[in-house]
Amino acid sequence: MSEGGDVRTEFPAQVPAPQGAPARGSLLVRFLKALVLLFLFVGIPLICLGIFVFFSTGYRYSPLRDDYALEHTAPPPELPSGQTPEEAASAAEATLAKIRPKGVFIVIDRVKNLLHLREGHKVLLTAVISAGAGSVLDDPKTGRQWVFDTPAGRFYVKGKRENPIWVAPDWDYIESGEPLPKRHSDRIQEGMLGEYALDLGGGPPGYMIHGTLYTRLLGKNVSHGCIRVGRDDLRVVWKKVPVGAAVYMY
Amino acid sequence: MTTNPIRTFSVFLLAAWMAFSAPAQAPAPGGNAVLLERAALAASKRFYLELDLSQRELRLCHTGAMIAAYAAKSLEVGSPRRFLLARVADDRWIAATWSQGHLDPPAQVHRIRIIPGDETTTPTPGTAGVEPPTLEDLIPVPPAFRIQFEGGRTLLVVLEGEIPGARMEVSSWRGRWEEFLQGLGLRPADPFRIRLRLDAVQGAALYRSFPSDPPELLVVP
Repeated sequence: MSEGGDVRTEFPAQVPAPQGAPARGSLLVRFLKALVLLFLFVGIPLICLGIFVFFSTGYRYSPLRDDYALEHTAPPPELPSGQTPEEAASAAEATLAKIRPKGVFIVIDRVKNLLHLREGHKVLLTAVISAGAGSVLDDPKTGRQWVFDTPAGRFYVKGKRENPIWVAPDWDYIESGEPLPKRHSDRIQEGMLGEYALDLGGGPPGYMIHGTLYTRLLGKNVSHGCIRVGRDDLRVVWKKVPVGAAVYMY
Repeated sequence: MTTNPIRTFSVFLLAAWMAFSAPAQAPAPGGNAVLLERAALAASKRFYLELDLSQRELRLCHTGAMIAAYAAKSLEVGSPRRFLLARVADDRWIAATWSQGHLDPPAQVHRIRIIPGDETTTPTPGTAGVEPPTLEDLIPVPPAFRIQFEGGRTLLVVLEGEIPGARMEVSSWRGRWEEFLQGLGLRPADPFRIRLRLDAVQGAALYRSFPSDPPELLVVP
């Protein structure tokens, strides 16, 4: 800047671009412009189309409508020859009445560790129990294996025992790392099963509903397959459940 | 006698409206069919399921007795679609028995292997403070699962809320992607499915207690 406020600006000398060859910068700009245009006019529509295809393909769900019953009801099954629909219906009713549990029955939820004493739909008692742990034991000497599951299905009360004794099986000793007893009498343990035991029939042998010394573990899957019940609840079960009553375990 | 064209047209319109709005002459939905199917399932002496559409309830049954009930928050009917066009199957699925239900993904029990003499692995630890896991800890449950029956009929169970116990981590996008591929025809699609929304506690209980012997399902109108 010169004195006296005289302002002079100096511009750098301009270098003329060579004739016939575009500048590198302008080529890059053109390329970028083309890319942007391509993205705007091809890329974005393609992305939109892809989103549309993705969200418009799959399954269409609609609420259940009343008219489905008319449109999608299966035709009635073929009846035995000579049987009218009324006869077939009464035969079906008779079959259900014969098969359904009569009187008091037991339902055992193996996952939630609950026992429900029921009569029809009426729940007489809900007790916290211990069902099978689901663990696996291998005998390192003989290769035998036990899986401590409570079986599922329909069973029945085969018998009822007061002050039951427990004859400890091999797995009890193998589990605790003890040698197997040589005499049968050494396996007998009193008090382990509580005051009562209800033996279950209709499935694999050896399963029962019984009392427990380990009341702190009620509500946990800790048994070797049997159903352990607390003392007070077991007394109710003992009193109300007759021999022959159905037992459902699921 | 001359005919009034407006009157004739009105009568025609009225007749047409009555013809189209009249309910279809069909027997009562289900009728005895449900009873006959139910008796047949009860006689099988195996676990079976009943989906009651009017009560919005899925039931686990055995020999005619209801063992457990799972209340549905919503019931929807689904059919595969491609580019908004649904392929609705003309399936007679109500008052019918769906066969051979399989869980997908199948339930897996993470069993504990007992080490002889090791108190922490025994089912009944004698020492206080050693807390064994429950089946809720040993059987992880996914946030959604399918019960697939023969013929592609499917019950899709979606759990809402916090799953108690172990949870199977499955991305929700994975399920959406599967549905997309099925809709495109790149994977075998279910021709028909019912989507059932259950409370997570009930849905998890259903998953963990699902019978190992593939059950049948009776859809009750």
